[in-house]
Amino acid sequence: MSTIIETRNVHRVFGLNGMTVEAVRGISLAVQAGEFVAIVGPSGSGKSSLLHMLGAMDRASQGEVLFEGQDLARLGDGQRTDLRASKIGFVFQTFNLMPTLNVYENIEIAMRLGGVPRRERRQRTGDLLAKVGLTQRARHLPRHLSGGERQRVAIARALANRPRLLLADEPTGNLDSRTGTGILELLRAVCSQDGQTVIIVTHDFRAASYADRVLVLRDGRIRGETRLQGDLDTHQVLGQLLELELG
Amino acid sequence: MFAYTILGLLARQPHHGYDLKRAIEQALGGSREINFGQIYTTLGRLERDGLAEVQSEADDGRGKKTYRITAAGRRELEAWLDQPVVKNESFKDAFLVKLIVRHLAGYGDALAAITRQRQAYLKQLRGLTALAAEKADQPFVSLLAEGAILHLQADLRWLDLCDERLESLESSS
Ligand SMILES: Nc1ncnc2c1ncn2[C@@H]1O[C@H](COP(=O)(O)OP(=O)(O)OP(=O)(O)O)[C@@H](O)[C@H]1O
Ligand SMILES: [Mg+2]
Repeated sequence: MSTIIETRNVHRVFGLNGMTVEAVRGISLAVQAGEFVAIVGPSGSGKSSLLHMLGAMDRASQGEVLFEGQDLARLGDGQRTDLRASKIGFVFQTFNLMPTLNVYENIEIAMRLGGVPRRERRQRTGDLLAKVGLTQRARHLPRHLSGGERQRVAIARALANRPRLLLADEPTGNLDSRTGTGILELLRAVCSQDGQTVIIVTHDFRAASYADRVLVLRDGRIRGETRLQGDLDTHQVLGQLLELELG
Repeated sequence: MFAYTILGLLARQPHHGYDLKRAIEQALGGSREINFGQIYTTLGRLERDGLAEVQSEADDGRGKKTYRITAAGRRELEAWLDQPVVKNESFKDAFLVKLIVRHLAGYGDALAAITRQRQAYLKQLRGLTALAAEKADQPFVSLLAEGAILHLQADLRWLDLCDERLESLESSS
């Protein structure tokens, strides 16, 4: 397995009204291609700040972020834009959809920017809409959608160019448990079938339990790490539950 | 609990032991084998307490008994069904006991213990999530799984709180 993204003692300091906030304080991590990683931690622990740096959306104040071995700090703005358009998909905590484009166009535009030919764009947009369960809403504008629906559009858009690395900030934050499960299954399939790498930031431990590895952040540092590979026997799980319930 | 399950089935119609076993197993998603011993012991107790009685005994030589609920049994069942549940058992937390003893014994390193516990809960949560998805079409089993998932989520949140509080406790002592 090869490392797709790595950070070495990365820091992010924000200056605000003469005050400085150290959002990320020395994080080193390495994620392997095809891995599904969840980052959890309390509000303000630096999860989004870290994710933005991993996605080349923001620059580190100190330390290195390497994408496929390449130091992002050495890339010019044009190269970073190319990288984001072709290899990294990003789902923002606040979605960032284009308000004047409908659902279909919001997804398709990502492919245009990625240079996908027209026919293929149509095909893939249709597939993605079906995967996130929004085929019926294709012609609607984002403002007419619920929070959960917007979130699903943002996920479809991030997957549009089959990015090697998908980064999602709270992908189930606005979803009920059933829709959330659908999205998590989709993300897991993206990893296991298509070999893409997925990193999610989440408050939701149920979402985290889908990952191969869970990183716990506290105050801008990694506080703990847990591996979860392998599935439990559901038959056995149910047996134990009933044992308690009936005992 | 098991006694009320059996009383509930008898309230609908008289049953013999084998029917009860099958009906319970079916309600549980066919995932657990109920043993006859447990059923007959419970029926015996219900009979002793006057909550159920033998309606008839087959004369096929094996003496298969059919049980029915009594009027007292029905009153007992209805009182139980209508009584709201008070939570207390499920507030018991075995991990908290370990944390306290760890602290009293002066072992420290609560973080490592919390990290291990988080891993165990997350693994369990993963299994329950798979179970809930697999049994989505079985209302009672999936409700049971969803309930356990919500509890575990709260437990995981509570572990974060333990981490936070104990960190300040350790750094101040
Ligand atoms: N652009 C910014 N300017 C100033 N401070 C910032 C900026 N972005 C983040 N911060 C601060 O950095 C810290 C970490 O923020 P971050 O958004 O990374 O947290 P988070 O873990 O994603 O929280 P949440 O779970 O609430 O989304 C916070 O104290 C936040 O106020
Ligand atoms: Mg955030």
